[in-house]
Amino acid sequence: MASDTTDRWGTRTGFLLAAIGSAVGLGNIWRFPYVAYSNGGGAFFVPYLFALLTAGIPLLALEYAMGHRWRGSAPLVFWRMHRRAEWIGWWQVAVAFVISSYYAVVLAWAAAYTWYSVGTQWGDEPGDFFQTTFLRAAEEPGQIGGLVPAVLIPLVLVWAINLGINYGGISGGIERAVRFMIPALLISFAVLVVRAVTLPGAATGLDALFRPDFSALTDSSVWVAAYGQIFFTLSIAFAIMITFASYLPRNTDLTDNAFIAGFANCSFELLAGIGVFAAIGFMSVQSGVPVEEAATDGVGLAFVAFPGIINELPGLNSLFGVLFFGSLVLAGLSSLISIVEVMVAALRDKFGLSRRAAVTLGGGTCAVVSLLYATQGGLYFLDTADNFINSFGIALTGLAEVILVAWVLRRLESLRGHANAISDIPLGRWWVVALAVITPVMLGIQAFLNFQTNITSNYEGYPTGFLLIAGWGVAAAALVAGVLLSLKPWDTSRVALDVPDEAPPAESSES
Amino acid sequence: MSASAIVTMLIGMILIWGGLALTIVWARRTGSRWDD
Repeated sequence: MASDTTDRWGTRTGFLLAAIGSAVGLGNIWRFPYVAYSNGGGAFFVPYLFALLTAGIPLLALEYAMGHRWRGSAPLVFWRMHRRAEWIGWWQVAVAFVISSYYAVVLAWAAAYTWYSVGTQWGDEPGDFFQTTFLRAAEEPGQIGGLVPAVLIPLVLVWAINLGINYGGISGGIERAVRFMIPALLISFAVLVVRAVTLPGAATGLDALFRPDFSALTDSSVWVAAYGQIFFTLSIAFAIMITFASYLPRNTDLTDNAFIAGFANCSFELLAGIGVFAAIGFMSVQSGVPVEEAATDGVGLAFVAFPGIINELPGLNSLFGVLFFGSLVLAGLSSLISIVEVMVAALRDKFGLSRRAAVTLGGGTCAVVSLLYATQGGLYFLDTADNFINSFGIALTGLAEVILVAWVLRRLESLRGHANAISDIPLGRWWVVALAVITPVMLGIQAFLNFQTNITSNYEGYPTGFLLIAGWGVAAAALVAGVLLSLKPWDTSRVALDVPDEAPPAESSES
Repeated sequence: MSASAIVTMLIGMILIWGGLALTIVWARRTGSRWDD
């Protein structure tokens, strides 16, 4: 099984870079700045930091402890925790499958735009270029149309690189890749931020982002937004951190690693906020459009607003574009390899496949499914799947995970003991309270609001029939797939029922 | 940029980037187990 092979992180730095690379993704660049801006500006940092310390880092530490204690992929870890809990692990794997299938396509867009940056090939109307020339987008949701070559070619490249890294294993593949990707991402983004803050009008954008509106702190929706941001930004609740922690040696720190990964992710988010809003401020001053109208997020920010900003730069336009879209590719790729590894580990554990076979089967199937999002109708399918799998995949698996561990199986104290036996920073009672009370309450509110929003109105006004298939159907299919996969019995001649919670060995044995 | 925005930005930088620096320093100082 995966956890009993030679797959191990070579160094603590390698593990941390992979965990940080997984957490730092597209959302750090295109989601966080707008969430902060529209939820109190500078005042947003109060609930944001509160959420990091009371939910984000505790959940990271929980998943590190689970993966390290029961040593395996998510289905195996949940099965070892309780024989009837395995379906939650497979549910998380199914969520990872859905996410990786469309995430790769967004990476393909970013890769294509890295090329289009050379000579700003999108022209004077970036919005039209993106929708009509590049995506050749269908007019109505639900229309599929043909494959779009401009998306298909970089998509093949993205999958080839991604699966090549996963074929290489943990220390030889993922660790080696992130040792290049994360420093390269940091350097390229830092250069971009320095350029952005020295543009005329940058101060206008930064003022809009950081000017505090403390009255927002009395608004419950701001606190929900902060917990939602922290929850979605740290790559928790879809099995990545459980899987990564299972590859750690017996005698390693867990808690300080959770603090480092959590703060590193938020540090990059802060850097991204500065860069993005400095650029938006520049755009605002150049075009005379107020920041509140120029500010946006998501696909619109990256593929429409930023090309427009790059067009207006006084010089080195192509270089700025290559740095921005290259950063998106690096941030996304380091996340995608971690999502694919979730499936690889699960297939190896349950079906006894070799790494090569598991990567080919799991990653290959994802690559085939991702072709749907590379069609002319792909944008609608992608947008819908993203909304529903986030709202009813990640949020609900996270809620199920904390309720199961904290309240049904009551394993928090034993996991706290496991982490404290090997970690430098001891987890106190606050950790138990954070996971047993604060996290489930905030996730429960999030889940309720997600249901309320998506039931009372059609997402983006899309037709109900389309949403039932591409949204609700995809989210429900992930749950059903999770339950069905858990019905297959484990081969107990190959997979042990449990692993002993042994005391950490002497230092020399694991170094 | 308004004074309140500058102060908020600086506090955010100190807390978040300072928090990261602190945890890394802690790991290097006490990293007695599995280290590079």
